[in-house]
Amino acid sequence: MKNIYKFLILTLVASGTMFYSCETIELEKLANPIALTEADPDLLLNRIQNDFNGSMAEFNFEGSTTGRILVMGTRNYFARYGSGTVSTSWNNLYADMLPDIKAIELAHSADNDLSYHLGMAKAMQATVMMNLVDYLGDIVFSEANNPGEFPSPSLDDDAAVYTAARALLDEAAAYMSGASAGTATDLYYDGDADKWIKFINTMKMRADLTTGNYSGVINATNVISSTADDLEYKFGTQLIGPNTRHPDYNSDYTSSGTSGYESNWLMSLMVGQYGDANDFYGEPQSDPRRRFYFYRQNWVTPNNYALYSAGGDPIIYDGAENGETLQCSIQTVPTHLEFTPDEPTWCSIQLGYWGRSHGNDEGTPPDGFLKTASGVYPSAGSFDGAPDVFEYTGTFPNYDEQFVALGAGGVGAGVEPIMLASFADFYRAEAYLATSDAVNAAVYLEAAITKSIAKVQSFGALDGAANSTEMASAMDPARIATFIAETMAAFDAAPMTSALDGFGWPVEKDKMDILGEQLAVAQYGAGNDMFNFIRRTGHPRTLHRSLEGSPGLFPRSVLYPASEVSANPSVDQKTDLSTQVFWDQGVTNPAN
Amino acid sequence: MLFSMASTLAQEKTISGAVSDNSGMPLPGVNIIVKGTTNGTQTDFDGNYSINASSGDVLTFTYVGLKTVEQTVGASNTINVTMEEDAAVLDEVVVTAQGIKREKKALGYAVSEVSADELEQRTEGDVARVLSGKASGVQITSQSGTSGSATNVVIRGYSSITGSNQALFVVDGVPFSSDTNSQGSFQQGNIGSSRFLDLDPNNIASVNVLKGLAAATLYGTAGRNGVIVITTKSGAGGGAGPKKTEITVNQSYFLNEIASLPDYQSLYGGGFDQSFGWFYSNWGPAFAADGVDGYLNDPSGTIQPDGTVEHPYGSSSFLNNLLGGNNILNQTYTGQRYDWKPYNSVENFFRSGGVSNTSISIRGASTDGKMSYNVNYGHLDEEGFTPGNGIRRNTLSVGGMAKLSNKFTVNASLNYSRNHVTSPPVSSSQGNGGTNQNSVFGQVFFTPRNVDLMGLEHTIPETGGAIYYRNTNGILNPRWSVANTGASQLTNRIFGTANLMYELNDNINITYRAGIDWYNERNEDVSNKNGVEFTRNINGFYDTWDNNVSIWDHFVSIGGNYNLTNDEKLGVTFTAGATSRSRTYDRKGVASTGQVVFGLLAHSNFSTQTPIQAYSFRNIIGVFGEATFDWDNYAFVTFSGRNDWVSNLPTENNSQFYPSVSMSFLPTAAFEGFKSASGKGLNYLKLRAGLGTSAGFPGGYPTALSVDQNTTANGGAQGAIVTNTISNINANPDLKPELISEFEVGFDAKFLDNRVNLNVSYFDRKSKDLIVNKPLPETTGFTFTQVNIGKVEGDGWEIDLSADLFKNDGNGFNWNSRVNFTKSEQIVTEQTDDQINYAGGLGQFNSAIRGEQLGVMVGNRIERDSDGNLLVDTSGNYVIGSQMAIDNNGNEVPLGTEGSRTITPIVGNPNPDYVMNFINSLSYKNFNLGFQVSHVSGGDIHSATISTLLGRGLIPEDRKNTFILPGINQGTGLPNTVQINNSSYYFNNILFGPSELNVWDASVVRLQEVSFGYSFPEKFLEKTPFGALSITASGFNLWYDAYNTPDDANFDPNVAGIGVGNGRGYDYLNGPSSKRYGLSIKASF
Repeated sequence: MKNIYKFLILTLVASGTMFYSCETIELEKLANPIALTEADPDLLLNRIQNDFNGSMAEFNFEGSTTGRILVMGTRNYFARYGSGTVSTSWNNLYADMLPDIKAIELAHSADNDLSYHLGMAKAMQATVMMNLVDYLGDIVFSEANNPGEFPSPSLDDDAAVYTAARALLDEAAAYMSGASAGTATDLYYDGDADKWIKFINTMKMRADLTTGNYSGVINATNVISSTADDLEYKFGTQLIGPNTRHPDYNSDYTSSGTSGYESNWLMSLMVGQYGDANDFYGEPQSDPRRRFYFYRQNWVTPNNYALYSAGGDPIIYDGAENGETLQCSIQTVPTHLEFTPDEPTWCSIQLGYWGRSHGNDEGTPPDGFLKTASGVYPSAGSFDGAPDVFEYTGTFPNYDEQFVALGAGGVGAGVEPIMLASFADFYRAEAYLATSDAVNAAVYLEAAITKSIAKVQSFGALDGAANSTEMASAMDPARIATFIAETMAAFDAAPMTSALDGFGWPVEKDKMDILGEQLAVAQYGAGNDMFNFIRRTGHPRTLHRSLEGSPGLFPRSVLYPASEVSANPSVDQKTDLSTQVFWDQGVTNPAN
Repeated sequence: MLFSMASTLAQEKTISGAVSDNSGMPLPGVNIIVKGTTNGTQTDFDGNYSINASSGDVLTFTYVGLKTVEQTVGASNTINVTMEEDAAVLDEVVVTAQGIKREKKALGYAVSEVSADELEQRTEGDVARVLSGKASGVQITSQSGTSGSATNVVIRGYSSITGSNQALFVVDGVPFSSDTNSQGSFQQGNIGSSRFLDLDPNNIASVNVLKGLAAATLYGTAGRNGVIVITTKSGAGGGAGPKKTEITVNQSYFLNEIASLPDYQSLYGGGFDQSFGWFYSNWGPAFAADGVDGYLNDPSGTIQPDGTVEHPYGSSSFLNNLLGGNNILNQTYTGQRYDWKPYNSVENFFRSGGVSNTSISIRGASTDGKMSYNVNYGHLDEEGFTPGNGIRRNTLSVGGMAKLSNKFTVNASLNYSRNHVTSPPVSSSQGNGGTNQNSVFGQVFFTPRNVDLMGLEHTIPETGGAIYYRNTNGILNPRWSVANTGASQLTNRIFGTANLMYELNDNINITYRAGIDWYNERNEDVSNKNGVEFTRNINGFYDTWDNNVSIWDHFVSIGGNYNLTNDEKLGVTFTAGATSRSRTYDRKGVASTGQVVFGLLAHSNFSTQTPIQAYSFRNIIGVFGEATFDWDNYAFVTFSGRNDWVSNLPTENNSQFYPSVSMSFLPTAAFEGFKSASGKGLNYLKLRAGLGTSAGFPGGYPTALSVDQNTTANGGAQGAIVTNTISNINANPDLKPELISEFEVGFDAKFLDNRVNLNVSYFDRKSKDLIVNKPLPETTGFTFTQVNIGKVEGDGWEIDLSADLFKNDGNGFNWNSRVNFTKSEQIVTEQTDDQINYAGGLGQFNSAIRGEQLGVMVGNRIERDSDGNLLVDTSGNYVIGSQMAIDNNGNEVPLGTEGSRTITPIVGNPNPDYVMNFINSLSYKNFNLGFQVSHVSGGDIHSATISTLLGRGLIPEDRKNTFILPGINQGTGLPNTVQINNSSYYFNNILFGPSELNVWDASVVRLQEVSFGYSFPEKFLEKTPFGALSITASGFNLWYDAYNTPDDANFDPNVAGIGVGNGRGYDYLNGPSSKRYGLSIKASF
């Protein structure tokens, strides 16, 4: 008995502790008490807008690298345009935007009108979908975002996705019509529904151009035609908490110098042979946008020339080779570029512009305070106020008047251009040219260049420390008028088509070459239209050839994201880059 | 009436006496039984007993490991007995699961024991590292030689894909948190000690390793990866201490040095393509003036004939630009010359650290032996070989036990430790500074030979910012990092246990045990502003957060033993009980960025703050039972089972039952004549077999869908905005526990007068329904979910052989040699995805691929053409390929082949072929010598250390030859004939080429330990207060050779580059290994 009594005491002590000491016997604790379980439509829309910008920035970047607007630093196209090419956009659309849009749709009701949210969201969704088709061909649509029924969604035909995206654009316009933003934050148009409708119409116009429906392009109405209606993502100047500056500003304006490389082809095209001295040498006017796009940190690039003057006419100065800062300057030109127009620019270019050419995969030497940085447009860096003709006063010192620095220039308050009025004019110019209407093509080409220059110039004010003399010179209306006139004269004089020489270069630029070059210039900072343009027209044929003699097939479309392919047995990866998107007629550009 | 009763009992009388061993020590716990009855008793702590018996009765005295004694009761009322060792039986008692003591012969599974003297006086404060190589089947990997870095402890290999594979530590009967809470991922610099660092190895009385599931079933899911059962000296208070109070003091001092310093070449300096430049790389001209590679032949012509260049702070464009060039360094150094010669920068950067370890142990007992106590204090002061790295630890533990007169026994122990680890930033590096955070090793290891790291100023006087040799100041000076950045973890921990045992009757005990394990880790990760390269270092940051972890463990059981037959041949021992274990993890803190005033580290001196918070709770309740039946002391069979319920799964799936059975059979006891009569042959043989099962439960909250919110998302011109998004992790309400089962057979044998001891185990393990973070197609709207899909099957061998090569009594020469051998392999046999990359990062992963060993390494490789030839591009470098296709048998087939799986190329297998340790102890008179040699054979490692040393030109000496890579020229389709120079070969192809070329065989032979000791003879000590005094000189990791890696890299593959977890086979310049040597003195009073 006594033993049993003690046993009971023990049991009581034990069970008492077990039951009353906190969580001893608790089960079914299924949710994390610090996790959110319901979403707010306004805050979902914020995320959708950021995802949209992230996707468009990726399309812009890849369009730029294919189009030599930015440097492509890989020798082999297949290695460069592999499964990572549009993986951010893919992930943004399917894993983030679609579930978030669905959540907004579920919350949308008569009592809780989320029309503006849905109008914006669907316009953005359709835009990302169309671009994914442009880069990939067939993509998932009808089985997307329904894991219960379709754990492994199948691809839809790319043409059908385009059709569906058009329907989404219509749906978006219907939602937008008369809608108000309410409590939502509209990072793009600040609550202006009419501007969204213009953007939607411009996207339809772009789709018409892509698919060869030229009359649709020519007859499009209520599209973005004024710079005030441009769709762009606006960056801020905040360094931390969070960093809101333009990403190119973040990488180019640091205490250790510039990190990226500008494209030798684009810089050389815009500068011409002698920059501001082009007049003196009887060359056409240099592009007035170049001082806004590119910020030089050096006056001469190894193994290339610059200009100086000792109080008189410009004199050509040949820069010495320098293996420490520019490895290729002590190397010989690749044999396939010998005796071609690319030979002078394969490694370095004139007047201190310091970039890289297509396919250069060298490592990074200590050149952060030597190479050319992105300028005041569109990333809000610094305006290039360096003279093209260096004033010689007895020595050639290091050209150290301008260097990048953290916080310099416009402090990153730039934009990510997504759809600009100038782009819409290019669409019409191309549509007219494609239908052999060179006169109207010239009208819209001139409008496009004019709008582009005006927009770019407006960024000059962001750099308060800019060299006012050079700024005034770059803004000089007469000079701009000359540039536009010379460009248009060249366009008007150019043949509709021209043949290729033995090396694959056009014997002379035809109209589409000139239009394509101007498109590339206007697309700087954006770039997304360039990839489609190259595949659609095979122009401009003057693009820089790769430093690699056998870079492989230029992408007709890129690979699917590896994360999707490895998790989804319904999506087979492509084995090369040859798959053509439904609208692609397979026109090749000899530069590729 | 009274009288008559007394007369009836007159024949029966009370016999009392004392039982001692042949050295005269009293023996507690000896079983005494009146033969042929159930009347029995046990000796107390002084070896005394009393029992009622009649004249002519026979008393049987039995004690494990001693010969049974029988004494007939005669006239005397006192019977004193001396018991002798039974050399033939050598039965041992071991602590098994849940603290249950069992005779070793009854166990149907393998148990390895490590004694206190193998753990004491070691230089490592980390008990897991001290255990390295001591027992077969246990694989211990240091994260690096950085003091306080984490340690991986894995028993019988990795078998779970996403669940933890880390062994369970049980201290004094209670599961002990051995978590590693690293400070972010390995890419962010993960100082984060493994929490067994809170145990002082000097306070450990014994360690038992339970390897298999049959052994660990009673621990439930926590024991599925094997269990390391530690009894501390304070927890061992349950045994009888000496009557006299004894004080033992251990003091040691060791030097701690870098063991893996590369042999840097001294012929060439910094530059590229044999041309000088202030590059990260060391491909410049020779330090000699003449010759084709001499600096006078450098095309850049920068190095003057007098062998000098402009001082890097003179030619620095960063300094030319800083404050408009108007700064002290620019003005001081412009125009100064700098010698073109090699400097021992890396060697001089590291230091010789000191490790001082003090341990004081006091133990004693009441004169009747019914109360005993133990107090231990330990102090560890460890300096790492890297400046800024160290550990300071204080541990205090008290334990006691009391056997009360009312059949209650109480024992308890309480341990407190305070542990402060500091370190400079040690994030991963791939040979380009830190990967995405600052890394002191990433910066220092590839210092060009012509850069005098220790001779260059590291701080800009005007700003406090960092300055270094690179023209653009694009790399963080490691000495600035040491002075201005770092991480620390201050841990306060209390863990303890209280045991209450009640002897219900002679056969049944009831036990209740409560265990508490609570710790607070106070983390700091800081940098002053004006660093370079990383935004956080440029702006300055100050992150502080506390991890509060509390674990409650309750245990109640009833246990006993009965003879089931009258002839006492069949007996049963049983235990049944319930346990609950809850763990709460609560992290809170603040991350600040934007330092306002340089130098002050306080949140109020930073412009922006964001919160740090994480929380998880999980409770596991278990009910278990175990019964062992024994037949005549030679056959044993044990049945056990446990059911667990877990709190983070819904009721339908939260319960899992798992049974085990094991048996042992001793032919040497069962059959007369089986045992060698002379003792020269077989002395003992035990055959054993076991079948064990266990379960693994998911962590976190896998069945609930949530919304991710960011309150400081980038809103561009709008500033910070708040965003919501539906989580990418899909909830899976159908998630079940994973199931593990294991079959184990083996034998234990002794030969040649017990001088040779052989234990062999073979196990076969299957884990199914493995919980996997299954990647979902993003097109479903989600990226991951946890599901039960995998199955891993494998087997392995563990062999322990011990031999007394020389055995002499007294002070003669003795030599004991032991070898342990481990080999195991785990294959993924079911897995619906093409591959699941579950660990790793930076482009290389450990992957689960059907048909391959679990954890094979995947990454990019040299591209092959359809015939399998290597492809070279037109510039002569390898083409990088990121895909391959395999068929159902795991053989490579051309991409796109019908029915094939496309995977990331397999570039290595981190699992070793076998691991072997050779441990020797020799003694002669008062001298003893010990050494341990370890050999790991096979297993691959992806080493950024080696590829950096090669790719940056720090160890290759051959500069004059060119390379033609074997392969097919991608442009021509013909064999490659393009010559490339040394820097293109090593830099473009080895360092920054396909990851396949960074993979090396990690086989290593190591002199793990060597020690030489002297014990002062007793007659020397007679006139001193010392009872015993010994002095030992020892060294650890004094020599190793990773013989399949480049000699000059001197690489030590004992590194866990991606920290503690399931990833393995990676080194991301995470830190060199350490070697230590020194003296220790042990004295007792």
